[in-house]
Amino acid sequence: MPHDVIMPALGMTQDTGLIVAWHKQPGDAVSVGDVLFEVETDKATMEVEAAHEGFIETLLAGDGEEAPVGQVIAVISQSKPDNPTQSRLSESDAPAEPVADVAQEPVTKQDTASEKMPPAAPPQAAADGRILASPKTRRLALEQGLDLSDLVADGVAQPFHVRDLETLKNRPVASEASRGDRLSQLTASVSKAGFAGFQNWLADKADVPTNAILAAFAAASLRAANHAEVINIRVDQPTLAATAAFANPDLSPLSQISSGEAMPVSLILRDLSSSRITGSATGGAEAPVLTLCEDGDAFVLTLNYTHQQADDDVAIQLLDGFAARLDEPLRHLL
Amino acid sequence: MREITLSQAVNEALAEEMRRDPTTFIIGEDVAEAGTPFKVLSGLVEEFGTERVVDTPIAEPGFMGIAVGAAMTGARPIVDLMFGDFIFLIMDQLCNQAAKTHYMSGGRLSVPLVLRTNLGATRRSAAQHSQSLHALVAHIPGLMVAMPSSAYEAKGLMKTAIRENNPVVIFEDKLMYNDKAPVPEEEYLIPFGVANVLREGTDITLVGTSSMVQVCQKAAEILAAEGISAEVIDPRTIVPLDEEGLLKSAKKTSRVIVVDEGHQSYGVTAEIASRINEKAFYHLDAPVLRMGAMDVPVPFSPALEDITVPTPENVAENARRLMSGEMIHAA
Repeated sequence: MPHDVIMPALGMTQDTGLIVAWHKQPGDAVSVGDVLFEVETDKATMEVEAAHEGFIETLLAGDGEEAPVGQVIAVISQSKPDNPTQSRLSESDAPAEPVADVAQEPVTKQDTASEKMPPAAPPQAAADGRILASPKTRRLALEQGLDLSDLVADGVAQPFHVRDLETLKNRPVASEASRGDRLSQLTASVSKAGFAGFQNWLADKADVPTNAILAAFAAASLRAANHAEVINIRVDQPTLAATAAFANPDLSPLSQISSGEAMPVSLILRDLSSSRITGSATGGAEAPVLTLCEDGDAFVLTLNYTHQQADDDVAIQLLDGFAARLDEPLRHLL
Repeated sequence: MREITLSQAVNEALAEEMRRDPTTFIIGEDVAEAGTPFKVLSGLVEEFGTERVVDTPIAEPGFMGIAVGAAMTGARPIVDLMFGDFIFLIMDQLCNQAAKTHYMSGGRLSVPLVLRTNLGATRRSAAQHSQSLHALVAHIPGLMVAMPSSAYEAKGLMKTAIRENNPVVIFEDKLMYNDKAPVPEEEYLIPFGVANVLREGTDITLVGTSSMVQVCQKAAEILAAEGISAEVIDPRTIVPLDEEGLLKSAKKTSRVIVVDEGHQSYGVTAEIASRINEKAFYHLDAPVLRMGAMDVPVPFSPALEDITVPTPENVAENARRLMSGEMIHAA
């Protein structure tokens, strides 16, 4: 089985390595411990040894090329390859990491800081998505309610400094932000028959309050949509002047659902079924609001949410799932 | 105001204190008739006699021991160590005896001793006569360390040191003995642990010790011409250190460079930078930079010697890099 040779991470903060020279050519035999290539990092030039025995089947990067840590740069096969190949990163389809523009002067082991300090590489965003910013920038951003990831989105070079916050403050209100605040609405309607029949059937078996059933259906639908670990449903029943909160009501049998403390609320279910209200477009609460109304023979369901609270996909799946459960409640028990 | 040289300022301080307190005496090599090779003590033996300006053989551990013993038994010696480099010879007397005696005697013995010595390279004195070793003694609990940066500081700090009941090491910069500065005629003392802001600024703080204060001042001039406002601050004593003063400046500008003539590694700059980092972290818009002498024995060759120490141009260059938000030592 062929083994991939990857550009190793020789330092905690190293992102790429420059291949100074291959010590093996395609077709060469390789023993464990043989030097495969020399790589230059920020700090020093090191030899990389083979960890597997075999033959060089292919080299995927050339002398003098810089490869990202983890990239496959050679393949060692167990048997002598018929057609050993050598290619360079710059020829491959995958976009190769460009060699740093700043000439890396050989850095001596001692810090010769009384002269000029060694020239720094151009600032790059940390590979793991971490935002680099000075401590003062972070503190001021926190105090002023600014989001540094907006600067990242705008393509401002890291690390961020205090003056970058001015850019952030003067930014036109992003469409993301306004989208986030705007209320979206989905509507569905289902026949009442299914749920009514279910309630009759259930009444013989257990005494389960309606709000618990609704909470369970809502939680199950939401969990199927967003796979959250914790789902807390608050059921408001204004016409009964009642409100109850349920923690993960879909994870226990219907007869065992209990209400109590359930924070933070993932979804607010407003049960207006025993009222004359036939539709609702209310929202603007701390969580999405799913309103249940009656209109003739049908339940009218309305889901109001902001984009900060839920994606469209999650919302659609939630409402559709809830409607389906109301329509065919026995599905919930499956 | 009159201007006098650092040498004259030290001389005045010693003379005034020796007149004031008959228990003070000077001891060291060539301190009497020769007035030391740097001529700082000229005239003192004529005024105070050989009992109070005591020449010794070339025996640093010996005369330091004499001074420590004298201090423990009622005198106030001022030890003259001809070159700071010789401090290695007296480390036991200074660090194990003088520094610890008050503590280990439960307060029953005091060591009101002043060790007067020097630092500073670029005099072409080579590796064993050019070291700046103040970091070594600053590290020892029980010792205070003063670093005058001009004639004014030299006189005021010396007087405070002599009146201090605990051991003090004063490092004068041997390159500055002929540098003049305004020094009042009236008596004045400079308290320990109080930094001096020589130049106010808003963009970057330059902390300098001893002659590096002058280097920072010149760097500030260079930067001012480029529109960068640098604050220059002199701690004056590194033990005790005016942390509050340094932090106040760091918080104001959010960028700091610490410049000292000790070696870059494991020195005073590291301590000051660390304290600023610990206590002003959330006010920093750039890493605190250290600039010291190169980690190399001071070269004898003038061309090489001159590049081993921080210069105004180097300091200004680093200041520009911090101002530009460059990622120093990129992650």
